[in-house]
Amino acid sequence: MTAVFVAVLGMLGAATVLTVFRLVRGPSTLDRVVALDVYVVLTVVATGVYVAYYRDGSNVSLMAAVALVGFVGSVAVARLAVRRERHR
Amino acid sequence: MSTAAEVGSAVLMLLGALSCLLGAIGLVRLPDLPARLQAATKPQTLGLALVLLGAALRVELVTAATLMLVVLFQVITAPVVSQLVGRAAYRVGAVRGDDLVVDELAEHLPEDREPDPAGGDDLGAGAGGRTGRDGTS
Repeated sequence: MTAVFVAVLGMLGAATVLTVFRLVRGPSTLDRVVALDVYVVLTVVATGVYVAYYRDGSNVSLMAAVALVGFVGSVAVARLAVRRERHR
Repeated sequence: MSTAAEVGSAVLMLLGALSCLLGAIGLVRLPDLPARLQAATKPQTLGLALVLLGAALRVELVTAATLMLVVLFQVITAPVVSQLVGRAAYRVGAVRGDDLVVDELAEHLPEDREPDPAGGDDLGAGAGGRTGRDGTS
């Protein structure tokens, strides 16, 4: 079972590296918004792996909160990016 | 904990992590913003659902119910973010018009993209944003 968790965390780590690459590289602000949204989802997934490995439910409410804040942040930045870029 | 639940949990978590990885590869490899938006939302939501379902098989019932609540929340919010970012991309010109087969949004946007006082623009975000921007500038 430990090998399964190592494989899962390895894949999630590779996905995070690729997402951070797009976050740093992304040509426009909206590319970065998309990458940041994926990054938040990957954080929640990794916390879910923690919950599964230790059978510890104390982080579950944290996962809901992080997902909520990520959603609000993505929506806010998407709107502000439009306003800024149309203003030029 | 039965062996069947262990195996099912392991398979679900591996599939979910693979889905997340494929989504991230698509996020890097795909050429433009709408295509990346596809890679960013659907595989990530599927991966989150599968991993949290696998985790829910290994914990007690209350924690599993909360995990399913997180999945439900992500399923509800991911299309909203996708819709808003896609619309924002269209408005700043990140969507190439010649790639589109049908462009229904253009019929609802004013041609010159300037605010009209009558409020003929049916985009709630755009209308609210303009009022705020005009008030501050």
